[in-house]
Amino acid sequence: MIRQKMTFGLIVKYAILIITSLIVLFPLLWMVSVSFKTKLELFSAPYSLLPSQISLDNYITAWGYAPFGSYYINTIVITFGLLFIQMITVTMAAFAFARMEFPGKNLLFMLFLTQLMITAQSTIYPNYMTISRLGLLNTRIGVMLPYIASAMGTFLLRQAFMALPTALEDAGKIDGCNVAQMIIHVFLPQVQSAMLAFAIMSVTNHWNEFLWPLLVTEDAGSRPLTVGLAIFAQQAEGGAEWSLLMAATLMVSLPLLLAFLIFQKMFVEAFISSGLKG
Amino acid sequence: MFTRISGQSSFAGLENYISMFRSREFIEVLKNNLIYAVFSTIPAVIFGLILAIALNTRIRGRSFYRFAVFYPTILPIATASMIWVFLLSQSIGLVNHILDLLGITSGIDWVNTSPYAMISIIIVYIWKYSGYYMLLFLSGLQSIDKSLYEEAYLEGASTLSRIRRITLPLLSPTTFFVVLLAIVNSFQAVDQIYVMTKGGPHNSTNVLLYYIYEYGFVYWDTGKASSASTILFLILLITTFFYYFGLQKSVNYER
Repeated sequence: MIRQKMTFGLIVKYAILIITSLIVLFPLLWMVSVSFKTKLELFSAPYSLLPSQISLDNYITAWGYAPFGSYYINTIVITFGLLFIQMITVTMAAFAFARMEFPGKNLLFMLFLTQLMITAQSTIYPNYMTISRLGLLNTRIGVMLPYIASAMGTFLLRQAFMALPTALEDAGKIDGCNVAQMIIHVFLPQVQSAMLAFAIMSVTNHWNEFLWPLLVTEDAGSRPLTVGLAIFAQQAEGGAEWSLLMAATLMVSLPLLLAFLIFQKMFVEAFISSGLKG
Repeated sequence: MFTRISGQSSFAGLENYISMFRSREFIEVLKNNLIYAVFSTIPAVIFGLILAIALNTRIRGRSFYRFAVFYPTILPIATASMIWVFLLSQSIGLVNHILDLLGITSGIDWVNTSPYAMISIIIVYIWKYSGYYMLLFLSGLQSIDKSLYEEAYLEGASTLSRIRRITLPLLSPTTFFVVLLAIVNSFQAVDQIYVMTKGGPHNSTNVLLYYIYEYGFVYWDTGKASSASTILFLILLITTFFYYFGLQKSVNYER
Protein backbone atom coordinates (compact mmCIF):
# COMPACT_ATOMS: atom_id res chain seq x y z
CA MET A 1 0.00 0.00 0.00
CA ILE A 2 1.17 3.51 -0.69
CA ARG A 3 2.15 5.16 2.53
CA GLN A 4 2.53 8.76 1.56
CA LYS A 5 4.81 11.16 3.31
CA MET A 6 3.83 14.79 3.47
CA THR A 7 4.85 15.24 -0.15
CA PHE A 8 4.43 18.38 -2.18
CA GLY A 9 1.49 16.83 -4.01
CA LEU A 10 -0.29 16.08 -0.76
CA ILE A 11 0.23 19.60 0.53
CA VAL A 12 -1.27 20.98 -2.67
CA LYS A 13 -4.26 18.66 -2.28
CA TYR A 14 -4.85 19.78 1.31
CA ALA A 15 -4.56 23.41 0.26
CA ILE A 16 -7.07 22.96 -2.58
CA LEU A 17 -9.57 21.15 -0.37
CA ILE A 18 -9.33 23.47 2.61
CA ILE A 19 -9.51 26.68 0.60
CA THR A 20 -12.37 25.48 -1.63
CA SER A 21 -14.32 24.11 1.33
CA LEU A 22 -14.10 27.41 3.13
CA ILE A 23 -15.13 29.40 0.06
CA VAL A 24 -18.08 27.14 -0.71
CA LEU A 25 -19.17 26.90 2.91
CA PHE A 26 -18.91 30.61 3.52
CA PRO A 27 -22.21 31.71 1.92
CA LEU A 28 -24.04 29.34 4.27
CA LEU A 29 -22.28 30.72 7.35
CA TRP A 30 -22.86 34.25 6.12
CA MET A 31 -26.58 33.61 5.66
CA VAL A 32 -26.86 32.19 9.18
CA SER A 33 -24.90 35.08 10.65
CA VAL A 34 -26.92 37.80 8.90
CA SER A 35 -30.19 36.13 9.82
CA PHE A 36 -29.42 36.89 13.48
CA LYS A 37 -28.41 40.51 12.99
CA THR A 38 -30.75 43.40 13.67
CA LYS A 39 -31.34 45.82 10.82
CA LEU A 40 -29.30 48.43 12.65
CA GLU A 41 -26.39 46.07 13.18
CA LEU A 42 -26.52 44.99 9.54
CA PHE A 43 -25.82 48.53 8.41
CA SER A 44 -23.45 49.59 11.21
CA ALA A 45 -21.27 46.46 11.08
CA PRO A 46 -22.18 44.69 7.83
CA TYR A 47 -19.01 42.62 7.54
CA SER A 48 -18.65 41.08 11.00
CA LEU A 49 -19.19 37.34 10.87
CA LEU A 50 -20.42 37.01 14.44
CA PRO A 51 -23.66 38.78 15.28
CA SER A 52 -23.58 40.69 18.55
CA GLN A 53 -26.41 38.58 19.92
CA ILE A 54 -28.33 35.49 18.97
CA SER A 55 -31.95 36.49 18.69
CA LEU A 56 -34.69 34.76 16.79
CA ASP A 57 -36.52 38.04 16.11
CA ASN A 58 -35.92 37.94 12.36
CA TYR A 59 -37.30 34.44 12.14
CA ILE A 60 -40.39 35.36 14.09
CA THR A 61 -40.93 38.51 12.02
CA ALA A 62 -40.38 36.71 8.71
CA TRP A 63 -42.75 33.92 9.76
CA GLY A 64 -45.44 36.52 10.49
CA TYR A 65 -44.69 38.64 7.41
CA ALA A 66 -45.68 35.95 4.91
CA PRO A 67 -47.74 32.77 5.32
CA PHE A 68 -44.70 30.50 5.69
CA GLY A 69 -46.75 28.07 7.76
CA SER A 70 -49.03 27.36 4.78
CA TYR A 71 -46.05 27.27 2.42
CA TYR A 72 -44.44 24.64 4.65
CA ILE A 73 -47.58 22.52 4.71
CA ASN A 74 -47.92 22.79 0.92
CA THR A 75 -44.31 21.78 0.30
CA ILE A 76 -44.60 18.84 2.69
CA VAL A 77 -47.90 17.64 1.22
CA ILE A 78 -46.64 18.02 -2.36
CA THR A 79 -43.23 16.43 -1.73
CA PHE A 80 -44.31 13.47 0.36
CA GLY A 81 -47.65 12.99 -1.39
CA LEU A 82 -45.74 12.70 -4.65
CA LEU A 83 -43.24 10.33 -3.11
CA PHE A 84 -46.05 8.09 -1.90
CA ILE A 85 -47.80 8.00 -5.30
CA GLN A 86 -44.51 7.56 -7.16
CA MET A 87 -43.53 4.64 -4.96
CA ILE A 88 -46.66 2.83 -6.13
CA THR A 89 -46.48 3.71 -9.84
CA VAL A 90 -42.74 3.20 -10.07
CA THR A 91 -42.76 -0.18 -8.34
CA MET A 92 -45.51 -1.54 -10.56
CA ALA A 93 -43.96 -0.24 -13.79
CA ALA A 94 -40.45 -1.39 -12.84
CA PHE A 95 -41.70 -4.84 -11.89
CA ALA A 96 -43.56 -5.22 -15.18
CA PHE A 97 -40.54 -4.15 -17.22
CA ALA A 98 -38.10 -6.29 -15.26
CA ARG A 99 -40.03 -9.46 -14.54
CA MET A 100 -43.00 -9.86 -16.85
CA GLU A 101 -43.43 -10.68 -20.50
CA PHE A 102 -46.08 -8.89 -22.51
CA PRO A 103 -46.50 -7.78 -26.13
CA GLY A 104 -44.99 -4.39 -26.91
CA LYS A 105 -42.77 -4.45 -23.83
CA ASN A 106 -39.67 -3.24 -25.62
CA LEU A 107 -41.51 -0.52 -27.46
CA LEU A 108 -43.09 0.69 -24.23
CA PHE A 109 -39.75 0.69 -22.48
CA MET A 110 -38.26 2.74 -25.31
CA LEU A 111 -41.04 5.26 -24.76
CA PHE A 112 -40.12 5.32 -21.09
CA LEU A 113 -36.51 6.00 -21.92
CA THR A 114 -37.62 8.85 -24.15
CA GLN A 115 -39.35 10.36 -21.17
CA LEU A 116 -36.02 10.27 -19.36
CA MET A 117 -34.64 12.45 -22.11
CA ILE A 118 -37.48 14.94 -22.19
CA THR A 119 -36.98 17.12 -19.19
CA ALA A 120 -40.00 18.58 -17.48
CA GLN A 121 -38.77 22.05 -18.47
CA SER A 122 -39.43 21.72 -22.17
CA THR A 123 -43.01 20.61 -21.59
CA ILE A 124 -44.16 23.28 -19.12
CA TYR A 125 -46.31 25.00 -21.69
CA PRO A 126 -48.43 22.00 -22.80
CA ASN A 127 -48.54 20.80 -19.18
CA TYR A 128 -49.89 24.16 -18.10
CA MET A 129 -52.62 23.97 -20.74
CA THR A 130 -53.62 20.49 -19.57
CA ILE A 131 -53.74 21.45 -15.91
CA SER A 132 -55.65 24.58 -16.79
CA ARG A 133 -58.31 22.68 -18.80
CA LEU A 134 -58.66 20.17 -15.99
CA GLY A 135 -59.45 23.09 -13.72
CA LEU A 136 -56.56 22.21 -11.41
CA LEU A 137 -54.72 25.53 -11.48
CA ASN A 138 -53.86 26.78 -8.01
CA THR A 139 -54.27 23.38 -6.39
CA ARG A 140 -51.67 21.09 -4.84
CA ILE A 141 -52.86 18.30 -7.12
CA GLY A 142 -52.11 20.51 -10.10
CA VAL A 143 -48.55 20.96 -8.86
CA MET A 144 -48.15 17.21 -8.35
CA LEU A 145 -49.93 15.78 -11.38
CA PRO A 146 -47.16 15.99 -14.02
CA TYR A 147 -44.83 14.04 -11.75
CA ILE A 148 -46.93 11.13 -10.53
CA ALA A 149 -44.95 8.74 -12.70
CA SER A 150 -41.18 8.90 -12.72
CA ALA A 151 -39.09 7.55 -15.57
CA MET A 152 -35.94 7.83 -13.51
CA GLY A 153 -37.45 5.90 -10.61
CA THR A 154 -38.77 3.21 -12.93
CA PHE A 155 -35.36 2.92 -14.55
CA LEU A 156 -33.48 2.68 -11.23
CA LEU A 157 -35.88 0.15 -9.75
CA ARG A 158 -36.04 -1.93 -12.91
CA GLN A 159 -32.26 -2.31 -12.79
CA ALA A 160 -32.51 -3.41 -9.16
CA PHE A 161 -35.29 -5.91 -9.91
CA MET A 162 -33.40 -7.35 -12.84
CA ALA A 163 -30.34 -7.97 -10.71
CA LEU A 164 -32.29 -10.30 -8.40
CA PRO A 165 -32.07 -14.07 -9.01
CA THR A 166 -34.98 -15.91 -10.71
CA ALA A 167 -34.99 -18.37 -7.82
CA LEU A 168 -36.61 -15.64 -5.75
CA GLU A 169 -39.62 -15.59 -8.04
CA ASP A 170 -39.87 -19.38 -8.02
CA ALA A 171 -39.81 -19.46 -4.25
CA GLY A 172 -42.60 -16.91 -4.17
CA LYS A 173 -44.65 -18.97 -6.63
CA ILE A 174 -44.21 -22.13 -4.59
CA ASP A 175 -45.49 -20.27 -1.54
CA GLY A 176 -48.56 -19.34 -3.59
CA CYS A 177 -48.00 -15.58 -3.89
CA ASN A 178 -50.05 -13.58 -6.38
CA VAL A 179 -48.31 -10.74 -8.23
CA ALA A 180 -49.10 -8.11 -5.59
CA GLN A 181 -47.89 -10.32 -2.75
CA MET A 182 -44.83 -11.20 -4.75
CA ILE A 183 -43.91 -7.54 -5.20
CA ILE A 184 -44.62 -6.52 -1.62
CA HIS A 185 -43.24 -9.50 0.29
CA VAL A 186 -40.58 -10.95 -1.99
CA PHE A 187 -39.15 -8.26 -4.23
CA LEU A 188 -39.46 -4.93 -2.43
CA PRO A 189 -37.49 -6.01 0.67
CA GLN A 190 -34.57 -6.83 -1.65
CA VAL A 191 -34.35 -3.45 -3.32
CA GLN A 192 -34.43 -1.13 -0.33
CA SER A 193 -31.26 0.72 -1.26
CA ALA A 194 -32.50 1.51 -4.77
CA MET A 195 -35.82 2.61 -3.30
CA LEU A 196 -34.04 4.82 -0.77
CA ALA A 197 -31.89 6.39 -3.47
CA PHE A 198 -34.97 7.18 -5.52
CA ALA A 199 -36.81 8.56 -2.48
CA ILE A 200 -33.95 10.92 -1.65
CA MET A 201 -33.77 12.19 -5.23
CA SER A 202 -37.51 12.64 -5.47
CA VAL A 203 -37.81 14.52 -2.18
CA THR A 204 -34.85 16.77 -3.00
CA ASN A 205 -36.14 17.55 -6.51
CA HIS A 206 -39.67 18.36 -5.47
CA TRP A 207 -38.76 20.24 -2.31
CA ASN A 208 -36.58 22.46 -4.53
CA GLU A 209 -38.90 22.74 -7.51
CA PHE A 210 -39.52 26.32 -8.56
CA LEU A 211 -40.72 27.14 -12.08
CA TRP A 212 -43.67 24.76 -12.32
CA PRO A 213 -45.28 25.70 -8.98
CA LEU A 214 -44.57 29.35 -9.79
CA LEU A 215 -46.75 28.98 -12.88
CA VAL A 216 -49.64 26.97 -11.49
CA THR A 217 -50.06 28.41 -7.99
CA GLU A 218 -51.59 31.75 -7.18
CA ASP A 219 -51.89 32.01 -3.41
CA ALA A 220 -50.88 30.53 -0.08
CA GLY A 221 -53.46 27.75 -0.47
CA SER A 222 -51.18 25.80 -2.79
CA ARG A 223 -47.93 27.75 -3.09
CA PRO A 224 -44.80 25.91 -1.88
CA LEU A 225 -41.84 27.32 0.06
CA THR A 226 -39.49 28.09 -2.83
CA VAL A 227 -42.07 30.20 -4.67
CA GLY A 228 -43.28 31.77 -1.43
CA LEU A 229 -39.71 32.82 -0.67
CA ALA A 230 -39.22 34.44 -4.07
CA ILE A 231 -42.44 36.39 -3.71
CA PHE A 232 -41.55 37.38 -0.15
CA ALA A 233 -38.20 38.59 -1.48
CA GLN A 234 -39.83 40.81 -4.07
CA GLN A 235 -41.81 42.48 -1.32
CA ALA A 236 -38.90 42.76 1.11
CA GLU A 237 -36.04 43.65 -1.22
CA GLY A 238 -37.23 47.19 -1.75
CA GLY A 239 -36.81 47.93 1.93
CA ALA A 240 -33.44 46.10 2.00
CA GLU A 241 -34.75 43.74 4.64
CA TRP A 242 -31.75 41.47 4.21
CA SER A 243 -31.82 40.00 7.72
CA LEU A 244 -35.45 38.98 7.33
CA LEU A 245 -34.74 37.62 3.88
CA MET A 246 -31.79 35.54 5.03
CA ALA A 247 -33.84 34.20 7.95
CA ALA A 248 -36.58 33.19 5.51
CA THR A 249 -34.04 31.66 3.12
CA LEU A 250 -32.61 29.57 5.93
CA MET A 251 -36.09 28.44 6.98
CA VAL A 252 -36.70 27.18 3.46
CA SER A 253 -33.34 25.37 3.18
CA LEU A 254 -33.00 24.01 6.70
CA PRO A 255 -34.96 20.73 6.51
CA LEU A 256 -32.96 19.40 3.56
CA LEU A 257 -29.68 20.68 4.97
CA LEU A 258 -30.32 18.89 8.25
CA ALA A 259 -31.37 15.72 6.45
CA PHE A 260 -28.19 15.90 4.40
CA LEU A 261 -26.06 16.48 7.49
CA ILE A 262 -27.51 13.41 9.19
CA PHE A 263 -27.77 11.07 6.19
CA GLN A 264 -24.77 12.35 4.24
CA LYS A 265 -23.74 8.94 3.00
CA MET A 266 -27.19 8.03 1.67
CA PHE A 267 -27.55 11.37 -0.13
CA VAL A 268 -24.15 10.95 -1.73
CA GLU A 269 -25.00 7.45 -2.94
CA ALA A 270 -28.40 8.54 -4.23
CA PHE A 271 -26.96 11.44 -6.21
CA ILE A 272 -24.26 9.24 -7.70
CA SER A 273 -26.66 6.49 -8.72
CA SER A 274 -29.13 8.86 -10.33
CA GLY A 275 -26.40 10.87 -12.02
CA LEU A 276 -24.44 8.10 -13.68
CA LYS A 277 -26.64 5.06 -13.85
CA GLY A 278 -29.84 6.60 -15.07
CA MET B 1 -59.79 22.95 -50.65
CA PHE B 2 -59.00 20.95 -47.57
CA THR B 3 -55.41 20.25 -48.53
CA ARG B 4 -54.99 23.85 -49.42
CA ILE B 5 -56.04 24.96 -45.94
CA SER B 6 -53.85 22.45 -44.17
CA GLY B 7 -51.03 23.33 -46.52
CA GLN B 8 -51.42 26.95 -45.62
CA SER B 9 -51.45 26.28 -41.90
CA SER B 10 -48.31 24.14 -41.97
CA PHE B 11 -46.62 26.93 -43.90
CA ALA B 12 -47.62 29.38 -41.18
CA GLY B 13 -46.14 26.99 -38.64
CA LEU B 14 -42.78 27.13 -40.32
CA GLU B 15 -43.12 30.89 -40.61
CA ASN B 16 -43.19 31.01 -36.81
CA TYR B 17 -39.72 29.53 -36.63
CA ILE B 18 -38.35 31.67 -39.45
CA SER B 19 -39.55 34.87 -37.84
CA MET B 20 -38.18 33.69 -34.51
CA PHE B 21 -34.74 33.10 -35.91
CA ARG B 22 -34.93 36.48 -37.62
CA SER B 23 -35.76 38.28 -34.39
CA ARG B 24 -32.74 39.86 -32.79
CA GLU B 25 -34.10 39.17 -29.34
CA PHE B 26 -34.27 35.42 -29.85
CA ILE B 27 -30.80 35.22 -31.40
CA GLU B 28 -29.55 37.17 -28.40
CA VAL B 29 -31.26 34.71 -26.08
CA LEU B 30 -29.62 31.78 -27.86
CA LYS B 31 -26.27 33.53 -27.71
CA ASN B 32 -26.71 34.29 -24.00
CA ASN B 33 -27.58 30.70 -23.29
CA LEU B 34 -24.55 29.50 -25.21
CA ILE B 35 -22.26 31.88 -23.31
CA TYR B 36 -23.84 30.78 -20.07
CA ALA B 37 -23.46 27.09 -20.99
CA VAL B 38 -19.79 27.40 -21.97
CA PHE B 39 -18.64 29.61 -19.12
CA SER B 40 -20.50 27.76 -16.41
CA THR B 41 -19.97 24.20 -17.63
CA ILE B 42 -16.21 24.37 -18.22
CA PRO B 43 -15.17 25.84 -14.85
CA ALA B 44 -17.65 23.71 -12.89
CA VAL B 45 -16.45 20.50 -14.53
CA ILE B 46 -12.79 21.43 -14.07
CA PHE B 47 -13.30 22.35 -10.41
CA GLY B 48 -15.22 19.14 -9.88
CA LEU B 49 -12.40 17.13 -11.42
CA ILE B 50 -9.64 18.85 -9.43
CA LEU B 51 -11.56 18.47 -6.17
CA ALA B 52 -12.28 14.81 -6.86
CA ILE B 53 -8.63 14.06 -7.56
CA ALA B 54 -7.61 15.89 -4.38
CA LEU B 55 -10.26 14.08 -2.37
CA ASN B 56 -9.41 10.64 -3.75
CA THR B 57 -6.43 10.31 -1.43
CA ARG B 58 -6.02 9.06 2.09
CA ILE B 59 -6.62 12.40 3.60
CA ARG B 60 -7.87 13.64 6.93
CA GLY B 61 -11.38 15.06 7.19
CA ARG B 62 -12.72 13.65 3.92
CA SER B 63 -16.34 13.76 4.96
CA PHE B 64 -16.00 17.38 6.06
CA TYR B 65 -14.67 18.44 2.65
CA ARG B 66 -17.34 16.39 0.95
CA PHE B 67 -20.07 18.06 2.98
CA ALA B 68 -18.63 21.53 2.51
CA VAL B 69 -18.38 21.28 -1.25
CA PHE B 70 -21.47 19.20 -1.99
CA TYR B 71 -24.13 20.84 0.18
CA PRO B 72 -25.08 23.55 -2.39
CA THR B 73 -26.33 20.78 -4.69
CA ILE B 74 -29.20 19.95 -2.38
CA LEU B 75 -30.20 23.58 -1.76
CA PRO B 76 -33.09 24.90 -3.85
CA ILE B 77 -31.66 27.08 -6.64
CA ALA B 78 -34.12 29.76 -5.56
CA THR B 79 -32.57 29.97 -2.08
CA ALA B 80 -29.03 29.64 -3.39
CA SER B 81 -29.72 32.60 -5.69
CA MET B 82 -31.16 34.58 -2.81
CA ILE B 83 -27.99 34.12 -0.77
CA TRP B 84 -25.91 35.28 -3.72
CA VAL B 85 -28.07 38.32 -4.43
CA PHE B 86 -27.20 39.40 -0.91
CA LEU B 87 -23.49 38.50 -1.20
CA LEU B 88 -23.34 40.45 -4.45
CA SER B 89 -25.38 43.40 -3.22
CA GLN B 90 -23.82 46.68 -4.30
CA SER B 91 -23.88 48.52 -0.99
CA ILE B 92 -23.37 45.91 1.72
CA GLY B 93 -22.42 42.80 -0.26
CA LEU B 94 -19.43 40.84 0.94
CA VAL B 95 -18.03 40.29 -2.55
CA ASN B 96 -17.69 44.01 -3.23
CA HIS B 97 -16.19 44.48 0.23
CA ILE B 98 -13.52 41.85 -0.43
CA LEU B 99 -12.75 43.23 -3.90
CA ASP B 100 -12.46 46.66 -2.33
CA LEU B 101 -10.11 45.42 0.40
CA LEU B 102 -7.94 43.75 -2.22
CA GLY B 103 -7.92 47.02 -4.10
CA ILE B 104 -9.29 45.49 -7.30
CA THR B 105 -12.49 47.44 -7.88
CA SER B 106 -15.27 48.85 -5.81
CA GLY B 107 -18.99 49.32 -5.93
CA ILE B 108 -19.93 46.96 -8.76
CA ASP B 109 -23.67 46.74 -9.24
CA TRP B 110 -23.50 43.01 -9.92
CA VAL B 111 -26.99 41.90 -10.83
CA ASN B 112 -28.08 45.10 -12.58
CA THR B 113 -25.27 45.87 -15.01
CA SER B 114 -23.81 44.00 -17.96
CA PRO B 115 -21.63 41.92 -18.10
CA TYR B 116 -21.69 41.47 -14.31
CA ALA B 117 -25.24 40.12 -14.28
CA MET B 118 -24.17 37.22 -16.50
CA ILE B 119 -21.11 36.66 -14.31
CA SER B 120 -23.38 36.59 -11.25
CA ILE B 121 -25.59 33.80 -12.58
CA ILE B 122 -22.50 31.90 -13.73
CA ILE B 123 -21.03 32.16 -10.21
CA VAL B 124 -24.19 30.64 -8.76
CA TYR B 125 -24.02 27.75 -11.23
CA ILE B 126 -20.37 27.01 -10.47
CA TRP B 127 -20.94 27.25 -6.73
CA LYS B 128 -24.00 25.04 -6.88
CA TYR B 129 -22.88 22.27 -9.24
CA SER B 130 -19.09 21.85 -8.82
CA GLY B 131 -19.65 19.70 -5.74
CA TYR B 132 -22.05 17.44 -7.61
CA TYR B 133 -19.62 16.94 -10.46
CA MET B 134 -16.88 16.27 -7.90
CA LEU B 135 -19.00 13.49 -6.47
CA LEU B 136 -19.57 11.91 -9.88
CA PHE B 137 -15.86 12.12 -10.72
CA LEU B 138 -15.06 10.64 -7.33
CA SER B 139 -17.16 7.60 -8.02
CA GLY B 140 -15.44 7.26 -11.40
CA LEU B 141 -12.03 7.53 -9.76
CA GLN B 142 -12.83 4.82 -7.28
CA SER B 143 -13.38 2.35 -10.09
CA ILE B 144 -9.81 2.84 -11.34
CA ASP B 145 -7.53 -0.03 -10.39
CA LYS B 146 -5.34 1.10 -7.49
CA SER B 147 -2.45 -1.16 -8.50
CA LEU B 148 -1.82 1.07 -11.52
CA TYR B 149 -1.00 3.93 -9.19
CA GLU B 150 1.24 1.78 -7.01
CA GLU B 151 3.25 0.68 -10.01
CA ALA B 152 3.62 4.22 -11.26
CA TYR B 153 4.56 5.30 -7.74
CA LEU B 154 7.25 2.66 -7.50
CA GLU B 155 8.60 3.74 -10.87
CA GLY B 156 8.90 7.22 -9.44
CA ALA B 157 6.21 8.99 -11.47
CA SER B 158 5.20 12.35 -10.02
CA THR B 159 1.65 13.13 -8.88
CA LEU B 160 1.10 15.27 -11.95
CA SER B 161 2.27 12.67 -14.41
CA ARG B 162 0.20 9.99 -12.65
CA ILE B 163 -2.84 12.23 -13.12
CA ARG B 164 -2.04 12.81 -16.78
CA ARG B 165 -1.08 9.25 -17.72
CA ILE B 166 -3.49 7.19 -15.61
CA THR B 167 -6.32 9.24 -14.11
CA LEU B 168 -7.45 11.37 -17.04
CA PRO B 169 -7.51 8.63 -19.73
CA LEU B 170 -9.29 6.12 -17.51
CA LEU B 171 -11.72 8.72 -16.30
CA SER B 172 -12.80 9.83 -19.77
CA PRO B 173 -16.17 7.95 -19.78
CA THR B 174 -17.13 9.71 -16.53
CA THR B 175 -15.95 13.03 -17.93
CA PHE B 176 -18.17 12.50 -20.96
CA PHE B 177 -21.28 12.02 -18.79
CA VAL B 178 -20.47 14.87 -16.46
CA VAL B 179 -19.98 17.29 -19.35
CA LEU B 180 -23.30 16.31 -20.94
CA LEU B 181 -25.09 16.55 -17.59
CA ALA B 182 -23.51 19.97 -17.06
CA ILE B 183 -24.72 21.15 -20.47
CA VAL B 184 -28.26 19.93 -19.78
CA ASN B 185 -28.20 21.75 -16.44
CA SER B 186 -27.08 24.96 -18.11
CA PHE B 187 -29.99 24.87 -20.56
CA GLN B 188 -32.45 24.36 -17.73
CA ALA B 189 -31.44 27.50 -15.89
CA VAL B 190 -34.41 29.62 -14.95
CA ASP B 191 -34.82 29.87 -11.16
CA GLN B 192 -31.65 31.89 -10.69
CA ILE B 193 -32.59 34.20 -13.57
CA TYR B 194 -36.02 34.79 -12.08
CA VAL B 195 -34.64 35.52 -8.61
CA MET B 196 -31.46 37.40 -9.56
CA THR B 197 -31.80 39.31 -12.83
CA LYS B 198 -35.21 38.79 -14.47
CA GLY B 199 -33.32 38.38 -17.74
CA GLY B 200 -31.89 41.89 -17.58
CA PRO B 201 -30.24 44.27 -17.90
CA HIS B 202 -31.24 44.77 -21.56
CA ASN B 203 -31.91 41.11 -22.17
CA SER B 204 -28.30 40.25 -21.31
CA THR B 205 -29.12 37.32 -19.00
CA ASN B 206 -32.23 36.17 -20.83
CA VAL B 207 -31.78 32.47 -21.63
CA LEU B 208 -34.04 30.00 -23.44
CA LEU B 209 -36.13 28.74 -20.57
CA TYR B 210 -36.61 32.21 -19.14
CA TYR B 211 -37.63 33.42 -22.60
CA ILE B 212 -40.22 30.63 -22.75
CA TYR B 213 -41.46 31.57 -19.31
CA GLU B 214 -41.75 35.26 -20.25
CA TYR B 215 -43.47 34.76 -23.59
CA GLY B 216 -45.63 31.89 -22.39
CA PHE B 217 -46.73 33.20 -19.03
CA VAL B 218 -46.08 36.93 -18.83
CA TYR B 219 -46.92 38.10 -22.37
CA TRP B 220 -49.13 35.07 -23.14
CA ASP B 221 -47.70 34.77 -26.66
CA THR B 222 -48.45 31.12 -27.38
CA GLY B 223 -46.70 31.00 -30.75
CA LYS B 224 -43.35 32.26 -29.54
CA ALA B 225 -43.43 30.21 -26.35
CA SER B 226 -44.21 26.99 -28.22
CA SER B 227 -41.61 27.52 -30.94
CA ALA B 228 -38.94 28.33 -28.35
CA SER B 229 -40.02 25.25 -26.37
CA THR B 230 -39.42 23.12 -29.45
CA ILE B 231 -35.91 24.54 -29.85
CA LEU B 232 -35.12 23.89 -26.19
CA PHE B 233 -36.62 20.44 -26.49
CA LEU B 234 -34.39 19.63 -29.47
CA ILE B 235 -31.25 20.87 -27.73
CA LEU B 236 -32.02 18.81 -24.63
CA LEU B 237 -33.06 15.79 -26.67
CA ILE B 238 -29.82 15.74 -28.65
CA THR B 239 -27.70 16.16 -25.52
CA THR B 240 -29.52 13.55 -23.50
CA PHE B 241 -29.59 11.19 -26.46
CA PHE B 242 -25.81 11.15 -26.43
CA TYR B 243 -25.93 10.73 -22.66
CA TYR B 244 -28.07 7.59 -22.68
CA PHE B 245 -26.51 6.27 -25.85
CA GLY B 246 -23.10 6.54 -24.22
CA LEU B 247 -24.49 5.06 -21.02
CA GLN B 248 -25.82 2.01 -22.82
CA LYS B 249 -22.48 1.56 -24.54
CA SER B 250 -20.39 1.91 -21.40
CA VAL B 251 -22.67 -0.51 -19.54
CA ASN B 252 -22.14 -3.07 -22.27
CA TYR B 253 -18.44 -2.35 -22.28
CA GLU B 254 -18.18 -3.07 -18.56
CA ARG B 255 -19.77 -6.45 -19.06
